[in-house]
Parts: sequence; structure tokens; C-alpha cells
Amino acid sequence: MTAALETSGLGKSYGAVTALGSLDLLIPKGMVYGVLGPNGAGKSTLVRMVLGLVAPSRGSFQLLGQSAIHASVLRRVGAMIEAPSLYPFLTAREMLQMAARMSGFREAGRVDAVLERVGLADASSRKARTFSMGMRQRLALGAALLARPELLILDEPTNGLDPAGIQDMRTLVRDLVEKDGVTIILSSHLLDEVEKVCDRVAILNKGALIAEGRVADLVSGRSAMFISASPIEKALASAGARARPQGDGLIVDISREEAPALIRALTGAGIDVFEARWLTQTLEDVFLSSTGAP
Amino acid sequence: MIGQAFGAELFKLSRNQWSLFWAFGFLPAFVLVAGIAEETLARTYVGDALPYANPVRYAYDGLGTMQPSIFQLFAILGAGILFAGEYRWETWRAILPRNERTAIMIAKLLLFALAAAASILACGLARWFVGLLDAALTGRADAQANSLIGLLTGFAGAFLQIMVTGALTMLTAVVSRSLMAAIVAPVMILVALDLSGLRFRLETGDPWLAALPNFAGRAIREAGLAFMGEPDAIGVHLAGPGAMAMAALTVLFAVTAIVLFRAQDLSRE
Repeated sequence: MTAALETSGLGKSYGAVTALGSLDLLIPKGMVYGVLGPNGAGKSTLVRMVLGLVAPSRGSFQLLGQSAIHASVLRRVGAMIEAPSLYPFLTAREMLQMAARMSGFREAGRVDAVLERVGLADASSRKARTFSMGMRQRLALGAALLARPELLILDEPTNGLDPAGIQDMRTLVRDLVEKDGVTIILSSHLLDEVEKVCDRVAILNKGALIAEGRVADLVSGRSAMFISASPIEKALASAGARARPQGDGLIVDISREEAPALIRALTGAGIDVFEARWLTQTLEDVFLSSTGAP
Repeated sequence: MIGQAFGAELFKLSRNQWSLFWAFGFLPAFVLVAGIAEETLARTYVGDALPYANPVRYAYDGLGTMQPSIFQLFAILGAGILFAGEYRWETWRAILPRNERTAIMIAKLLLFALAAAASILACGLARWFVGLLDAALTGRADAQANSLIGLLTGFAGAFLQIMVTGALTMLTAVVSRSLMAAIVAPVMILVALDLSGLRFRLETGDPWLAALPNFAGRAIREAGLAFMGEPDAIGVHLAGPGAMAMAALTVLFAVTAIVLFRAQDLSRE
């Protein structure tokens, strides 16, 4: 099966500044793929290179199996990059009509269907300059969805949306993948959001890939256990460098397989163990520890 | 690709009505209103200076309305909106994945050419209407020989001159990525050309004057007048070289803009 996006040593530098180092990434089709990273990590640079807005300084990539990035490939991709870019003098309907003309896309009733799907049917005759941030976001999403893309690239899609809008967006993203077979690359700072909708994630930091994998694997791969024990000093010494104090106990970074041996060692050393429970690690924990953020 | 981009650009410009009016509609409206006001005032306070009027000559004068630098400002505004608008609204990223860079730029240039041609023609028609009004009140002058060729020549002179300015605006928009700079830089260049007009005269017939759009445009207008029987037309021999020079400048500016744009990183618009 062809990958939605495959990069090989892909990188971009602006003079002495490296926006993206040398990225090897394979994004399979048929899933929501999250791209995470702090500001300046290289997420937007990656997206802009893929869309032909920025030329790579090194490396190569294949988009939907094509290495030559031509409009015929890009027309199979819908994208919403950074802040919504809209013409202030066009209405919501006109914005979509213009996008359809530019793409050479013709399908009767499609504009109305998209306006309905993104919840802008009632505002279709209003100029984009009168829209709130959330409405602008919805319209930009509508423009990305218009030509029935195989691949959808969404950069911070929930910016400016209210809680109900965020829930709608989540549902829409999962529906697009599960019902319409669309592949989605989602870049976001909202880690909770990514954890809820993404199947796999890549974490970028300072232009480099520092973690990649299924969300479930990343979260479980760095498991930790809280142990309430006494005396605490003796327990800390027994658990070694992977333990740190926490309240009336300690947190130990261990895998599931190591847990029984650790508890046996503690009780064998005469330490009273009152409680031992797994700490559920969130994607935010993985992200913060991967990027070295405090 | 070019056809699709042209359709989208035309649709977009037609919906940007305020800009469309100021760039391409204001001048014809001004020519019409000012012409009617001029006729009314002249007839009221001065009387009829000439016992007859020639609407074709009025139309010819109208076709040249956009040629003076001050009136080219409107065309520069139109070109600025077309070529620098995407930088201003940060909308390149909304349209570039839907079409080819070269096709979009060519479509924009074709649309500018169409709008400029329509504006020039509308100025000619507006002035022709004023001429008809004058003729209805005072009597119509005899038709001149080769009026159609003269009118076409006058149109070509104005059109080529505006196209040079439009292509220059296109280039400055790409280089500067700024609407303000895309408007100000061509205006400054036109001012410099106007200053050259204070020093050099078309009457001298120096061949190199054909390379300057303001002189070339005027030479073509003079050629149009010569076709229409004007005995005192000057610098007519510079019309052909001037037309070629303006066409070459238009192509040079447009091709340079497209080449630069194709290589331009749009990390931010």
C-alpha cells in the first residue's frame, strides 16, 4: 500500500537557521496522524514543503506515491495551514466557489453540502471579514474538504472553536477517516486533542524527529508506578536511580514486567509497602519528557 | 490550468467591487462626468468655441486618458491588488495547492490586460458620448479618413503603456511581497520618467526615446493622429520601435516576476 507521505532526509534551512533537520517519516494511509512539537519544531515547515509552498533544502519526499509535486497531486490533498487564509471581500459561498474554480472542480451541490457539513449554511452569504475566528476556521476547513481530498492536512484545526465546535471537529475528523477513507495529518499543540483523535503521532523538536509511533504504544512505553512505602529513604535506596520521592511514597519508572521483582525486593528488604499503583501516562507527559520541556 | 486560474481570478475580482471600481471603473466614470460638466460649463459661461464637434476625435482623446502618470495610478492600484493581494491577505497558501504557480501568474496578467483594455475602451466610449453630446448641440464635423486605424493605434499605445506599468507592478509585488511597495515603486518610476520628459523632447526624434514608455506611448498616439489626418503629428517614426520596446519590457518584467515567483519560498506570505 502506498504511503500518504514518505520523507527521506527531508530538511529546510534558511541561511544558518535550520527549520527542519533531516526527517525520515512514513505516514500510512487510512488514519489520523498527529504531528506534535513546540513552536519552531518544524511542523509548519514540513507542511509547507509538502504543499509546494517552500522548496526543500535537502532530501526528498513522496506525496500519495508521487515524487513530482504537481497540481494534479496537490488537488488530491486538502489543507488548512496555520491561521485561516480567506479573502475578506468574499462570502463563505463565494470563497468555496472560487476554490472550486481554481481547482477545476465541478460537482453540483457540493458547495452547499460542504457549508452544511462545517456548520456555515446559515452564514453562507456573509463576508468572511465579518466572521469570528471559529467561523473562519470552519470555512477554511470547508475549503480543504471541498474537492473530496484523499489526504487532509490540518494545522491547529480547533483554534478559536468553542467546546461544542471542538467536539464537532473531533467527530468530523474521525468520520472522515472511518467513513470516507480520508487520511488526515493533524498538527496541534492541544495534546489532549491529539491523544483523543490520532492513531499515530510524530513528535518534532528543534527540527528533529524525537519520537514516533502509535499513541497507545507511546503512552504505555514510558510507564511509571507509584509506591507508598516506609521507611521512604530505604525504599528510595532500594529502588535505585529510576525512583524519585513523591509525597509519602516514590515514583519509579519501570516496565510492567519489572514490577513484581521490584516489590519483592522492597518487601524482602524489610520495607512496608502500603500501596502500589500504575500511573497512567498521558501524551502530554511523553511530549514534555521528549522535548525536554519543564 | 491557466483557464481555471483565470476563471477563479475573474470571479474573485468581480466580487471585489470596491477595488474593481477604483482601479478600473473610476476613470471612465470621471471622464464621462467631467466631460459633461465641461460641456455644460463651457456652453454656459464661454459659449461655443467651435461651431462643430468630432465625436471620433473625442473618443481618440478618451482612449489616451490613462496614459499620463497621474492616471496610471489607478491601473497600478488594480495591478497591485491582483499581484500583491495574495501577500496582503496571506492567501497564496489557499490557492497555490489548487493550481500551478506559473498558470496563476499568467492568469492574473491576462486578467489585468482584460481589465485595463476594458477601462481604456470605457474611457474612449465615455469621451465619445461627450463628443456626441457636443455634436448634437453644435453640429457634427465631417468624418476623418482612417478613423478606425487611428482609434486602434491610439488604443494600442495606451494599452501597451499600461501593460508595461502592470508588469512592473507584478514584478515589484513578487520582489517586495507588499501591496504598499508594489504601488509605491512603480509610481516613483513613473515620476522619474516624467522628470525625464522635462529634459528630453519627443520633437528631437532621438531613437532611444522609444525605450521609455512615456515617450513611446506618446509617439504611438501621434501616429494614430497622423492616421486620422493630423498634419502636425510628431515623433511618428518612433511609434513602431516604441511599440516593440513596450512589448519587450512587458514580457521582460512578467517573465522575471514569474521566474522569481516560481523559486520563491512562501514560508510566510
